[in-house]
Amino acid sequence: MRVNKGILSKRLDLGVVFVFFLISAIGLFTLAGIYEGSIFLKRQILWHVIGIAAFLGVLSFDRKFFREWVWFFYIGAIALLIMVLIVGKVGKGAQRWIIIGPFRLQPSEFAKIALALALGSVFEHFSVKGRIPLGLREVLIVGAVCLPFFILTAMQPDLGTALIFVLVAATVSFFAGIKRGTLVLCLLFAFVVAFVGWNHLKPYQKNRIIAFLDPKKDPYRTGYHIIQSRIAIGSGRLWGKGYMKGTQSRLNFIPEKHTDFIFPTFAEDWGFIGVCVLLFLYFVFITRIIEICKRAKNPYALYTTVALGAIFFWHIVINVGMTMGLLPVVGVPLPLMSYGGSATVASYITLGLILVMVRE
Amino acid sequence: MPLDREKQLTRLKKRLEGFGRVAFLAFAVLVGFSFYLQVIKGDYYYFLSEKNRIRVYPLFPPRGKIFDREGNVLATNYPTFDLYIVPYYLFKECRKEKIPYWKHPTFRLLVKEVGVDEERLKDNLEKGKRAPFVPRLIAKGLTESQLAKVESLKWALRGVYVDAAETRRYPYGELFAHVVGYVGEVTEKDVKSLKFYPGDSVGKTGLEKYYDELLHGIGGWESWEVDALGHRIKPVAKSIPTKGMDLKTTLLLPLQEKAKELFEGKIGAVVALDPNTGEVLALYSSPSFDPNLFPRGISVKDWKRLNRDKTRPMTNRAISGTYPPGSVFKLVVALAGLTEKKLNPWHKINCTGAMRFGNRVFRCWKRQGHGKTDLYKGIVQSCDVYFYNVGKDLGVDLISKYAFMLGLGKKTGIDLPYEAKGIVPTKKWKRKRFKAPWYPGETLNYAIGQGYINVTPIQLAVLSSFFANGGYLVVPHLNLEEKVKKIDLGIPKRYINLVRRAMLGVVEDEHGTAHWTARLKGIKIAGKTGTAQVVSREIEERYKKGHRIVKKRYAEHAWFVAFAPYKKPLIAVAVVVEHGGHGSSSAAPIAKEIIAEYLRYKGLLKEKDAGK
Repeated sequence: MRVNKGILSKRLDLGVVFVFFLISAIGLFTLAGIYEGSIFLKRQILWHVIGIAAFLGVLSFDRKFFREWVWFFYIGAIALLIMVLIVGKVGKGAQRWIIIGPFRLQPSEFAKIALALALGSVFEHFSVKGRIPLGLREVLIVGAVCLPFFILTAMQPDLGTALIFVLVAATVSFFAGIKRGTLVLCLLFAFVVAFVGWNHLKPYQKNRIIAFLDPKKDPYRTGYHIIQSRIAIGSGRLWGKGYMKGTQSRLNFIPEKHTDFIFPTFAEDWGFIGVCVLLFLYFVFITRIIEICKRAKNPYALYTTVALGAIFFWHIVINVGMTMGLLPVVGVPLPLMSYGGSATVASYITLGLILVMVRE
Repeated sequence: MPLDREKQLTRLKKRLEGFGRVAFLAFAVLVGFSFYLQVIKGDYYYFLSEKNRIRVYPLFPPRGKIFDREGNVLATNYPTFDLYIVPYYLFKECRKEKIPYWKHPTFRLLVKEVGVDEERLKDNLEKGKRAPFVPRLIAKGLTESQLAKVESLKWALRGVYVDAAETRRYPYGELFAHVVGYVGEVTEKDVKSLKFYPGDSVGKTGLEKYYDELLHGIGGWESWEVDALGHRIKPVAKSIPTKGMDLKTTLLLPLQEKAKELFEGKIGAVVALDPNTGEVLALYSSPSFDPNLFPRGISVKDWKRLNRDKTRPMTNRAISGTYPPGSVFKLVVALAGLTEKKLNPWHKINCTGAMRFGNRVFRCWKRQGHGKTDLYKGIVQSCDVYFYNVGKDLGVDLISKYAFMLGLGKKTGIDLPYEAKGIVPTKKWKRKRFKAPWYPGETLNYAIGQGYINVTPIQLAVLSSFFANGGYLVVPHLNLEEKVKKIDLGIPKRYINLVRRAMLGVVEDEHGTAHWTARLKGIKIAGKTGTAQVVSREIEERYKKGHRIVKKRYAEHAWFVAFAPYKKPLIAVAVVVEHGGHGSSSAAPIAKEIIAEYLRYKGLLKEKDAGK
């Protein structure tokens, strides 16, 4: 009981939890509108229940535990990612899942958390040793920490998640500060990687990027997703078509309408007004997390919360941006809205960790 | 040290403010772009989503029928069976069995057993990949044996079904091919102009084309809500098609049949008009073609065969074929001379069989000459020398003035498409066309209907009607309900009667050019023969075993225009027979038989084999 008291003590930021649940409720409501009484809604509710359990589970530990066991999580995540490549289930041209009984586990979702924790430790080390702002050596260390994750997910291939790893690491690095010369070098390196990487992309990945640059070129193949998604969002107009009245989603013109493309489904039903409300909630959610970061009492907590918050931020921006056609289509879910067990549970764990990090 | 750390932490936390601003900016961009998509371009995207959602299926109206004046059906519709495929089921099995669709038994059976065109099937299946639930038309107008094949193989043909449709049919086949015309599938251009839906039939030639708007009816449609795969979810709206109007024509089946019979093995055309109204009683062009090849989409083989045929069966010679009128033109020259008072009908000219003009000799067709010739004799015996003189006195432009007046050189206005204008030469015309002056010698040639002048059979039928009805031009028409239009030319009756009387002489006078070929016992026929000479230097002569063979392509075309009965004409006819030699021998008997058939039909001619 003592533990539980600690969990729900006033020292926790309940505001962010409230927004979290509010968005989750909107997500469930949207899912309910897609498949009436369908298996997806029931399952998603189950994921939320499991998520809440995981959330409470995370809160029952303190941050020292995560700090001590960070390399265990790190190695564990890498092991899981390797397992995916060996025994993984192929879906939509990529190996992303491990089948565990009736569930499909997507380890990359949890790998993001492991990386955030690892980055927190690494940056704490830098800060203790006074190696901030980062020089070339430090950046290389950060890169080395990310590299296994990046390579293993890129091999699935899941470019979206691989990109998230890089963005999270970059966010924390920028937060810590990078020496000017190193920054220039890093940018140069990024260009070279982008250039070389382009030649190693799979055709469908190239097509996605081409489609993003010019969706109308071939509307029935590569550009199809982007165009249909845009039509869905735009056709919602100011007030939306009404709950469950969106034709683009109901008639299956939107691909992946319950997972990666749930935002267009929502936007079509609720229009610009609904989009404003949803994006405002996400904005509040992110600003709340930033506020929470400020409460961190030591560098480890601060860096970890920033890394964890960055996961949320990049997911939201990339997902919404790609459905609008502002960014290339990469398979990144919209946190708390998209259907998906691993992502949902991972979101709960991420939030729990953020709260644990700043708990007195 | 702890203090230092504390300081460092505070400094770091200040950066969070910047992160907050970046987050705000990111969300502002998302909201802003959302505003652009949903509010600024909202209506555009809404329209696109409706276009996605609603699919319009055309409902074709039943096409109006075409009848002859007695109610015989010249064009009708009959139910046919079309073959469709919903590609989804085929694809599904192919995916299961991991084979490409062209290896699937359904595909092979359709091509090998049912006889579906392989390319067409492939094309449709490729198009069906995006929307596999949309039915695709793969074969039109199945034959009985094809239907039976489909029925017996039904268990093996995935997603294949038969649907009934209406197809145009022409019960008399070749008989009315040129005048009734045929329908065919709309072109892509028509579809793009939004006038028709793809798959609709429109008139391509003949009455089917001219009266297409009336016959076609008003197309309807059905709109359905469909999903991304092409499943019909629910009907949205419907517009019922309006049946096309029937067309009753002035044509007469027995007369047309007679025309076809008479033209068996010959190339040419015949037009029979009611000279008082301009109603077309028969219009036949030989050789003809089977219009039933077209409504279901003509095969490439048939199309090539029809187009490569040297006899050009697709050309409607009655309205599009142009020939020099030959001696028939003398009627025009005579009337011009009389009206312009350049010709005294009683004045006799001595025909010696040739006439010197400038440094050239112009021959009469009769080498030994006609002797003393007045207007009557000039027409009856078709004396060329007589008309050389008349032409010389009139000059080209004055002759042409009357030719134009009598409807040559311009469309008659018959309700058929692709009518030719022909040519009536003038000095101005020649300068423009050949950049050369008109030579006086050409006038002489022109006066006997040779040279540049070109006319169509329908024009000469109108000309014949003019003399038959005693002085007005009619507008030939095929629509029985069309108002009769008469154009009075104001040419004095006495002049017309002079020419008319001479036309009677052509048949009745024992020296008349058509006396032995066109005379009908009990009925007085008036007419005029003509021989259209194709430029003589193009005549290619060959000798074979001592016989002179004139290569047919460059031979002479025979004309005969006529009307009957003389006193109160009921029918006017123009006949042209390509390579027919002299007008009297091949064209006149055809005209005579047509006239006899019509008068028999009218009850004016009792004996069955009159005149034979």
